[in-house]
Amino acid sequence: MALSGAGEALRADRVPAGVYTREDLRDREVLGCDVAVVGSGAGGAAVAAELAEAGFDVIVLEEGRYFSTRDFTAEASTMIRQLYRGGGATLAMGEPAVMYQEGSTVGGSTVVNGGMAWRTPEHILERWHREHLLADVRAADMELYFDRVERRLHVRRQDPDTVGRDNALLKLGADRKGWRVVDNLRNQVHCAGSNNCAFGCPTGAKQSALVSYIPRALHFGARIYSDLRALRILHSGKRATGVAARVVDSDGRLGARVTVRARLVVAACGAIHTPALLARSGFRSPSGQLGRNLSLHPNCKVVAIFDEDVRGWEGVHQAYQVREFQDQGFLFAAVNIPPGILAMSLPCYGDELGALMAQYRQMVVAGMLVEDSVVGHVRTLPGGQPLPFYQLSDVDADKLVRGTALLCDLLFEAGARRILLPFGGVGELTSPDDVRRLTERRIPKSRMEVVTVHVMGTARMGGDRARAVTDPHGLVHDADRLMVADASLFPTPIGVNPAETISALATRNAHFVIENRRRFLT
Amino acid sequence: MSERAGAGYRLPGRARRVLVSLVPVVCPEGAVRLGITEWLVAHAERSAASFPAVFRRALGAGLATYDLAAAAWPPARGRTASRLDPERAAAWYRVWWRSRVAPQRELARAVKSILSLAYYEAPAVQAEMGYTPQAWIDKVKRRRLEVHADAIERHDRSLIAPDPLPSSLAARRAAAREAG
Repeated sequence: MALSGAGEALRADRVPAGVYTREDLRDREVLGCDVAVVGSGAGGAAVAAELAEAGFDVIVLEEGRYFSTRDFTAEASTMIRQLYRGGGATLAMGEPAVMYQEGSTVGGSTVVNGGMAWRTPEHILERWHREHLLADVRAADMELYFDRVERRLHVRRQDPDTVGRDNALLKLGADRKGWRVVDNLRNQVHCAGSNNCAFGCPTGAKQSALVSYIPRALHFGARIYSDLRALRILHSGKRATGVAARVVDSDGRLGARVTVRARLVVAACGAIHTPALLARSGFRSPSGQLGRNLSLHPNCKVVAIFDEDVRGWEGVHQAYQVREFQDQGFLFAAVNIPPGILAMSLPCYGDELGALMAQYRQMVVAGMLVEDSVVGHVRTLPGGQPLPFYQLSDVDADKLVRGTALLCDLLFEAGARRILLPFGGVGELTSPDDVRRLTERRIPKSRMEVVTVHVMGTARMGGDRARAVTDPHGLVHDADRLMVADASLFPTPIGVNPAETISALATRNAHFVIENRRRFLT
Repeated sequence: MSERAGAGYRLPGRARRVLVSLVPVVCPEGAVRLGITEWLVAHAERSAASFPAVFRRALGAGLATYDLAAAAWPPARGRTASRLDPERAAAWYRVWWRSRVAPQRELARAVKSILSLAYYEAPAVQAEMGYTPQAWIDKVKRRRLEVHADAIERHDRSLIAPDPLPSSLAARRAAAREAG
């Protein structure tokens, strides 16, 4: 058997015009543009496309490599190594440590997310308006932007014939319990149900930024530089004037130095790296809130084993969401996980692991998302790298146990025979009676296996400069021509998948720039 | 912290020897039966190469400690972990897996994670499990193109069609009209 390594050789002839890679950059190269966007995910790519269409000369800097749809396969670990920051091994410190995951490739986390596309709930927008003094963010104000993002990303319900057995069982359990379950809205064009979302969509059906906003930005003249890490934002006094960057070489080391001169700089590298980029560039928010208000939507998963063959890899990822408990702050979904990734997290090894994994075809993996009630923070270390800290609250830990119990109830109702829990030392459940006992136990937080793919809120926007890092359009307070356009802007967690909210806010920010063109271009 | 190592990254010699010795302990019996130990360790090294440097260094140091500390464990009779017989190797790993000392426990779990990831990514193991995702992907990809070619092409065209953001004034008027 040979390890996959062919992707690199094949990749070179798939880079479209307008995308430049490390091979195209010379040391001490200086580039010029109107707008430099750092990051190419849900926020950065949307800003780049909108501004390029409006006639701005846009350069996007992306630390990750460029891959195309044809590069994406079912080799999960190869994809993780190529597409995820830190090979997926990134942790927020706390008890328990929370493993978080971010994309690091052209298209950012949209390349590896599940493709869920939900508008920000209205009560959240109302709260932002009321408590964070954000004018023009209520549902009616945001309609234009949500509608535009949904059009661009082809947000639809899934074709029914692509729903796999794992999702059907989740729905069956919810229906039998009489719980509210909804079809997921997803950014997809006739998604084929390949269930490879988290490792790059191999059919091109999922409308990640890679296949939607990026081609659009390129069409309107934007330039994308991959393999280019932004070191710091250049500034003259309080005015941002560009970005100092270095090429990431094939051995992972930093190579050629590149300077991008710009009239406006947009930081869109996610809620972990945006605050670090601002901090190491010397921008200090007068509010003291830069890097604070980190929320994560903590997730837990359970593994239910059925008598029947489920073959969870056949059918769409997360066709449904169980929303019965949304007002209590949690959602459920079925989330198939490849065997290698699943085996990593199971609490056994050797032949015991082998016996368990022999039932992989009968497994349904279901997850729960919790709208968190506390916030953490991102600290910028002396070398300039970010380190997130997040302490799960007692309230949220209780929600995770309660939610897990409810999810197990649902899965037993659907016919599960055994359920493995995300709580070390608690053992497995074999009947609904065990579920009741689970809720009576006190489970230490240190034994909870918590992960997340939703990282938000470390450069929050707001109308009050004493409490917010940016103004309502993402412009950094106490700085000039410096904008944020990613999930860092969220004043609070939103309780649903954040990608559409990120793109809508980024579009809104771009709209502000377009309408105030002279302010930014002169 | 997030700097990756290159594709040619290799674990330090001692750490690598420990991983080789742990394959029969941590992985299911198929690892030995299928003769894939070397493949698994190479896969684990590839995973380690993509980790943040601090994790990579911690893994190397942890494996070296695991190896050397065995010599002070009475049943090992002075041997390092990578030189233990299978029974004692399994027992020494169990000591770390069940340890009350968090770093020992975490190292045991980290080793188990990267080796079990490798094991279940091995094509021979996946074939034995009947796990055939690429065949499924190829099938549904083909079907999608056959059935939905027109809709796909329509959307692709829309992606590059002009659609400028309206001026705020025009947008407000349109919203007001919608609201009646």
